Amino acid sequence: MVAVVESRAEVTGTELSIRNVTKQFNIKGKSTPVIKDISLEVRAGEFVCIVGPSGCGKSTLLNLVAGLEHPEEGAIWEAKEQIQGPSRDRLMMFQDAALFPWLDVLGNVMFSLKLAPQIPKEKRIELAVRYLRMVGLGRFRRSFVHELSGGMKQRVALARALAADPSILLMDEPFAALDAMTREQLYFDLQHIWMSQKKTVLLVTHNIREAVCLGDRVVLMTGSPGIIKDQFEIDMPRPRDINSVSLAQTATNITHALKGAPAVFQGI
Amino acid sequence: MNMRRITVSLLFFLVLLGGWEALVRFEIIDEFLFPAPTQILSYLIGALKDRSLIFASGITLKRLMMGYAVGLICGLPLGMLCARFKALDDTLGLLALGFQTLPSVCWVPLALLWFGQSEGAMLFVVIMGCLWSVLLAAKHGVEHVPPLFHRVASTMGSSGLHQALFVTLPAALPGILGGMKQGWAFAWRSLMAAEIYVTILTGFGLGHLLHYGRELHAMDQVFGVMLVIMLCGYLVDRVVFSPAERYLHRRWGTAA
Ligand SMILES: Nc1ncnc2c1ncn2[C@@H]1O[C@H](COP(=O)(O)OP(=O)(O)OP(=O)(O)O)[C@@H](O)[C@H]1O
Ligand SMILES: [Mg+2]
Repeated sequence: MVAVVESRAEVTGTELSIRNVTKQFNIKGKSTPVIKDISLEVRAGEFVCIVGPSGCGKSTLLNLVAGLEHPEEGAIWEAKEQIQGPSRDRLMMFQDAALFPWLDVLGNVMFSLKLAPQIPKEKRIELAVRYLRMVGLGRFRRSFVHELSGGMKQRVALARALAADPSILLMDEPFAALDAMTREQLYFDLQHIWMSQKKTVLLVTHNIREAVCLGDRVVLMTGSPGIIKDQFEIDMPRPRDINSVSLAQTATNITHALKGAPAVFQGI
Repeated sequence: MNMRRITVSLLFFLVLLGGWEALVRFEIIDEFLFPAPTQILSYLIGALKDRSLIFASGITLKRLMMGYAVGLICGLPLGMLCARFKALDDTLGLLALGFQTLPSVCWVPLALLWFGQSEGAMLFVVIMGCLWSVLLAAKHGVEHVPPLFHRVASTMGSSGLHQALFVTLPAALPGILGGMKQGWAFAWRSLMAAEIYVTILTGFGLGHLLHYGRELHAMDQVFGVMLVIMLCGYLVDRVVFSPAERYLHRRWGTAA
């Protein structure tokens, strides 16, 4: 069930191609590489989960793909185009929901919809409401942002991201702030959306079961500087149940396979 | 406000006015320098009847609105641009910082020399009085917008003018409103200074009424006009700024 991926240099239908990317930050006055020589190919419609210890550069990698940061070395390609800056094609969900307080809940979801030209005007409200219902917040569409709990805010952010229908969805620990029940519901919903839309997804998480439940592939990173340690194809039928025995077994197998690198899984 | 607080305020003013009236009536203070509340009231009624007060208020408010509008129209965008472009901040921003410390009455001599005794001089003083503080407030408002808002907007495909109008501007609203309020207060003060010092024939504002009250030793007029000036400032705060602030507080969830 678990197969260590060998070389993926020549995958057909590559949507996203990260090539020898190094990113440095100025830490305590010294230019320090946070990510070093990372290469990763993501197929169109593939769901890739990135796991790794805190501070190993997962968010930085996602920011680079989003075009919010620029690499010092190497380049990132979306299909045949090199990524130069942010674009609605690569929509990112952050660890913080970052909803706009001057808009109500519906207005926040509409913000991304209004920027998506492929969605006709008259369908926007309907779509926004549909996605809000999906994350269980249909009744809260007229609420102010500060009236929501942290988990509810993150669900609005999820609705906002999904509704805009980007070709690549980047998610930085989107479920970390949610309670277990909501989270499991959202695993289920996200899988259904993914199966119907075949979106390319890059998701960062601390939870290896979550990674196995959602991903076609689990990529393991280790830190200082951040590199890709290992990768695992997850070949299980969908929809997957996070509580199923086979999924738990797969997650355990991966953890065992990682015994050689215990530092990676500290705190997971 | 609850009943108790209303009662306390009411009682305070009743005692103040009553005591004042009594002191004048019993000739403990000189009515020539310190007219009684009833005398001030009778001036106000007279000035309302012969329309001089209404006229003056209208003229003053018109000047104020024009100067304030120019201050906002120039100050808000320039402030936002200063926050965005460091070169502008290091030039215009610095200039604004200097001018803002200048009490607006200091512009009067210069305005008189440049524009003579004209409406232009009035307008100039009002604009100089409010423009810089509006500019700086807009700048600070924009600078305090959480960077994450910009990142989120960018990744949803918002950039350039769209982001400035639909993200930066609303996100900076609390700061900008504070600047507008301060700008209003400065515009009001500078116009009074201008009207008191600049005698012109094109319009007789509240400041002029105050000035001629002094010239004619009409203390009831001086007090009456001061009261009207106070009331105007208070009303604008109550009718315009307080509701706007309350709205923002509710939206942002920052209400006490
Ligand atoms: N803008 C920045 N300036 C300087 N250093 C930064 C910046 N952003 C990130 N770093 C550093 O880069 C490293 C990686 O950060 P990053 O946020 O990518 O980690 P992460 O893997 O997402 O961690 P976590 O799981 O806690 O979210 C950290 O050591 C962090 O201090
Ligand atoms: Mg992170």
